[in-house]
Amino acid sequence: MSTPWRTLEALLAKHQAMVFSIALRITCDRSLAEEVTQDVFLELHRNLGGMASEDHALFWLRKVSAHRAIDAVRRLARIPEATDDAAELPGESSSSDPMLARRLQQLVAGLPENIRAVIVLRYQEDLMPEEISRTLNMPVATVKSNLQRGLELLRRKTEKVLR
Amino acid sequence: MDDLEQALRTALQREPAPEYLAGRILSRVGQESIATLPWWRMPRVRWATAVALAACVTVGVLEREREQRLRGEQARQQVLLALRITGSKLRGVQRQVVQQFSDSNASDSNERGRQ
Amino acid sequence: MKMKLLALMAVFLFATTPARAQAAFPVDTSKLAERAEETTTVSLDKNMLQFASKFLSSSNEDQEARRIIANLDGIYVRTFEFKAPNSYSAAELQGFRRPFSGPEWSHIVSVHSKEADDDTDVYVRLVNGEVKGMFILSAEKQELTFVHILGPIRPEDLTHLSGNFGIPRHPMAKEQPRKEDSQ
Repeated sequence: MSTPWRTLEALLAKHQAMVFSIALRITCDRSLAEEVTQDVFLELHRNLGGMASEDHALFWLRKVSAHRAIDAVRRLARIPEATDDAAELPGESSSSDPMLARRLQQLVAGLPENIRAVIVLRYQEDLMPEEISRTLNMPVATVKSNLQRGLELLRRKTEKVLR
Repeated sequence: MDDLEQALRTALQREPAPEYLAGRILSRVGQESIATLPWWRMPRVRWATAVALAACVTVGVLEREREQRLRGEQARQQVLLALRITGSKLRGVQRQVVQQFSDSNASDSNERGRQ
Repeated sequence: MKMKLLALMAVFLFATTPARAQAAFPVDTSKLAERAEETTTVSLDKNMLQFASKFLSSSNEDQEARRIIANLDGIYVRTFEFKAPNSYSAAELQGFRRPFSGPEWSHIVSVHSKEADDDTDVYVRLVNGEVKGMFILSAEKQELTFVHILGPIRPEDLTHLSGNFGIPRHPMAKEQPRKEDSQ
């Protein structure tokens, strides 16, 4: 069998950032995200022979990263801090505003972990609701309602800035 | 897509993993591979074991068993790979395939009923 | 007399050996392998399937695999990935389909997906009205996949391929209950 993509090194180089970012955004803890990333790639190494294609490996990595990150959050019962005070934000909105970006990251971190996972997969990984449904083993209707709820919560907390 | 969604895309861009992480992962993988080896394959023990058991018949027996297990694991991985490839290629046409199966079974049992 | 017998045996051997070899993988893909950037080959005859079965674990996926392969006579997979599109011709593709135009085979599915820009052909071999083999030809822009399954395949095995082995269940697929599940 000759399939150059089917090595741990190749998949690690290509997808390490994705796995780490999913873990980081869901756990909101860098050292926990590092642990999750290591665990995911260790498990990938054990299952490498069974990957049918590179797309399959990518789907598998997203799925396992999200699940492991959510499990890690639940195990530690972490509730990241997110202040409610939108007044500290500058009045002008800008999509390239680093302060806004940091604030949004903070607010996303304050969402319940199921909603957070859906938001991360939608806006970081650019997955459609059907793909998120398969990745998280969550009904599509629940994905959509979690997306809606998440955006409503975020919108309420940032509406002064994003007008 | 509205301003919030645009802002979310920007805020949630992927972050690179720390530079040391890849090395750490590969090191753990290496350790796990060694840890799962039978004790006589451990690097530090290998030569001592080979010398001590060189004349012993059981080395051949144990090796054959280990090779059998390795071949078995390889065969298992091949089966899973074949089924995964098959499943992925059938995924888009599965409904039609299963329908054709059911139709041909139904017409077959109708034939038998008429006979 | 002895020479005639030997000649007859030779004819028999030469006549049957290619057919036996062809039964395992009925199309010649050697030219594709020369052009492909990556090739995946899986060849498991009945003996290998039975051997592998002993090493399948108690996990759901492995148990599902054990059920599917239990009565099969072989699974053969060839996947060819090409660096550039148009690395194979329509004529070649027709050539690969030709062995399945005979009376033994039924062309049960031919699907072109605009979204994925791929073609999938599925052929089944019917013996006394029962499926005793399946051939799948999947043609994408830069990838060709051939799957040849020898032996009886049940509809529920096909459904269970989706949703297991890391393959997401097709959104339109309905689960076919296994006969043993309902007992």
